[in-house]
Amino acid sequence: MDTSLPRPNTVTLKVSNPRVLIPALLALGAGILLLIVGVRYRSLAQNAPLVAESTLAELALWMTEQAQEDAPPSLLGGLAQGWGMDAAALTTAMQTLVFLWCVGAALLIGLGIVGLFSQASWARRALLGGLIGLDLLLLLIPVLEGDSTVALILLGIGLVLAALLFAPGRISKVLGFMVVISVLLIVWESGKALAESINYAITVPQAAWSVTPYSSLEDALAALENGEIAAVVADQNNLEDLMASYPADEAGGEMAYPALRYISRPQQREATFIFLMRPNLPGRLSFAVREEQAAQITRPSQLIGQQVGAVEGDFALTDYLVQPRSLVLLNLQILNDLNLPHLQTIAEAFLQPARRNGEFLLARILGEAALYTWREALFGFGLGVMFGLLLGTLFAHIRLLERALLPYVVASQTVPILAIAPMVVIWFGASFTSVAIIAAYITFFPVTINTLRGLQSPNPTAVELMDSYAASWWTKLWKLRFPAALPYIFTALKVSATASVVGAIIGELPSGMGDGLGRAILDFSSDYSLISTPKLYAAIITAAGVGVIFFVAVSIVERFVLRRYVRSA
Amino acid sequence: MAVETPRRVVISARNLNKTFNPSNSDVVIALQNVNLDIVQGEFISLIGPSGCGKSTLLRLIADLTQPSHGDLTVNGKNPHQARLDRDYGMVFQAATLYDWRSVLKNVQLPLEIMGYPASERDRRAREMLELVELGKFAHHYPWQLSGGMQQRVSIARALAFEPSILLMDEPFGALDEFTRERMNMELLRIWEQTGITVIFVTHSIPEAVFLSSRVVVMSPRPGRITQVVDNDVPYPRVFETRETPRFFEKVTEVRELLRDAHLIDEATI
Repeated sequence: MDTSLPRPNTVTLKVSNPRVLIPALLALGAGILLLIVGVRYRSLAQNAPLVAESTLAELALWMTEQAQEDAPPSLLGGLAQGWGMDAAALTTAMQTLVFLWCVGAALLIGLGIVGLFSQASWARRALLGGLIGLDLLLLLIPVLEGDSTVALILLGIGLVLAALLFAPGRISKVLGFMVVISVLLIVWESGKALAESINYAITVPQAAWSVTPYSSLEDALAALENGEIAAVVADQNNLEDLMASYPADEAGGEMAYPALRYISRPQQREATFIFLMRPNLPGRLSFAVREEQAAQITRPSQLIGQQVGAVEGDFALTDYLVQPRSLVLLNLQILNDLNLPHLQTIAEAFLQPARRNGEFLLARILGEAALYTWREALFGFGLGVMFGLLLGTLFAHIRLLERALLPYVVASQTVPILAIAPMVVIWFGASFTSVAIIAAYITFFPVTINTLRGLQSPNPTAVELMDSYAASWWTKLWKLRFPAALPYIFTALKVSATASVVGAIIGELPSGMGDGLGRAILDFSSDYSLISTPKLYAAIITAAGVGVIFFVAVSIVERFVLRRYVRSA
Repeated sequence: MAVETPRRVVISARNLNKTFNPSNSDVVIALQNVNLDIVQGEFISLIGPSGCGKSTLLRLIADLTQPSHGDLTVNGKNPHQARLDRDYGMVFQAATLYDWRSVLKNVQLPLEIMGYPASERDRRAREMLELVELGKFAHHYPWQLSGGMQQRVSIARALAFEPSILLMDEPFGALDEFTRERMNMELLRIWEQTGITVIFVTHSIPEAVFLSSRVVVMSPRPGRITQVVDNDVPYPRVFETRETPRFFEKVTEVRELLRDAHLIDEATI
């Protein structure tokens, strides 16, 4: 073998390789955008809305307020007091922090570009760091009308995502997770921007009203009597004193306009197929028409194309007839600020007092609530798992018991937990125990089923081997059935870990306890407003976080306990 | 063995019958009037086509199933007592190792169940792993071993508590021909080293002839013993034994017995 052959020089090849060049250019663009955002945020005055309404500046304000007190009740307030900074200095510090954050993320992206060219395995990880940096900026920088900063950040995220997709190599678990999160954030913010730009609906314009304004209702009605116009649109209250209604209520007395009728119950919502017409006819308005036409008019659109009359300056004219009519193909109200707040608004909700002038940040209140709920869930989880293991083991050994009781165990899970929870609260009182029992009620089922299945999983030969040693049933259980069941049991434990948190939150609702996440969710959803919805989202995110952390904790234990088992995947 | 002592009868079957589903229409006579004596230190092969009851006979000896009628003694006791006394070790067709136990822990399993102290467990298990030449793999897990190695672990496990009888139910059936021949050599070496009585169920005629001192030829429907062939191919048997005329003669003899049994079977259907 000839080893003296010159090694092919691949360096020049690499640089011109489009598989590296394209992602590198994309990443470069993202890095530049990061620097622009950082410099801009740092150089703006503190009263500029982009700074003043940003998450950290608002936090700085709260911290300095706390620092005014003799003994600040919170850690952050104490810190601000210790530093002796006023609001301006602290805000400047926060601005610098965000600037440095941008520079750091840009440096990571730069490192990623270098890694791409040297084909290093850490290139993707460096880009991933930059991506996380960009994602976090969405939580710090507010979305303002006429300001493009957030758009730049979204573009940056998109560029890094594209770079990661083009960059060679496998997609790791963390990378996949962050990519999905980043795509979700982009869709969230750009979806909101798009929806806002089209006024939260996709519409098809419809023919407008042809209106003749009159100076008074009398003039308009006279014109109607003459046949100049087909109808008069006015408040029903005004019309009902002047003419009879159609359909007629009861025989009235003499009316001022015997030849006219007002439509007493016009159809207010109109639809073509399944698409709604906008705007609706306001409830206070009605139509006055000539008696002979009254039978034909039931909906506003029947008057489109004909001349109608209204009184100048009247509500009917200003708020209804002049508005463009359109058919709503898709309603995007779900994307407005009330239903789906900006990411930064939610992040800011965490870092603001839960109530106006409240002592503690929402983050702290939710954190304490989460801890309380998690303790209930953990207690219920333990209770449910013990019960499930016991029941599963009994069922596996006593066939009769399985046949007799398993249907009831299944039936117990078909009853909604919401129906059971209030009863448990009545039986055991509005207490920690009640909530734990409700959590256990959800938890025990998967554990029972999987324990049973797992204990029955060893093949017949494995059992016969035990028989050949004349092993007792206990030895068989302990040395064969239980170890064989462990993978099944852990699958159930992972399901139960998340279910127990849901159970605890649901259990808190009827108990009226004020300490847990259930109460927080109830509070923030009962007052559905621009101020409250971000807090509701914060509470939901916290609840999800508790479930995920519990799940991950069980997964880590599983990985340790099952480390010796066959790697089936 | 310099001095020939009168050898003890280890297993004795008299008019042994086993019927599955006796009351149903799909009744299966697995064994009919089986008479067999096996003495200490013998290597007995049970051979025959599928359905001849060879595995059933082994499972009757192991007390994993019970005879319909007839007498069966193992070490002079009824099979149930013999099982309780842990008189035999069993090797199945599948290695049946427990996934979550290391090789060493798998071999220790019977010793744990039988209450040996930890140090003794460890010593014996390591000794047995050396015997099957897997000493270096003590801390591996079953899924890290090849099929042949797994089956060797299972043999070590069966021998770990020094039973007087080794029951093997087609232990090498799932292995390729090459591995199977190596395992045969290894099994013979272990048998000669330990002096244990082996009852070996197989489909393979050369394997039966190569290994055993006597070959029990069985035929199906109903399962019964056709003939017991004394195998005088001289020990120690080595790789070249398979190429000797005596070996061929014995293989032919067994093959013809099996063919006759099979023809009878065809005729009765």
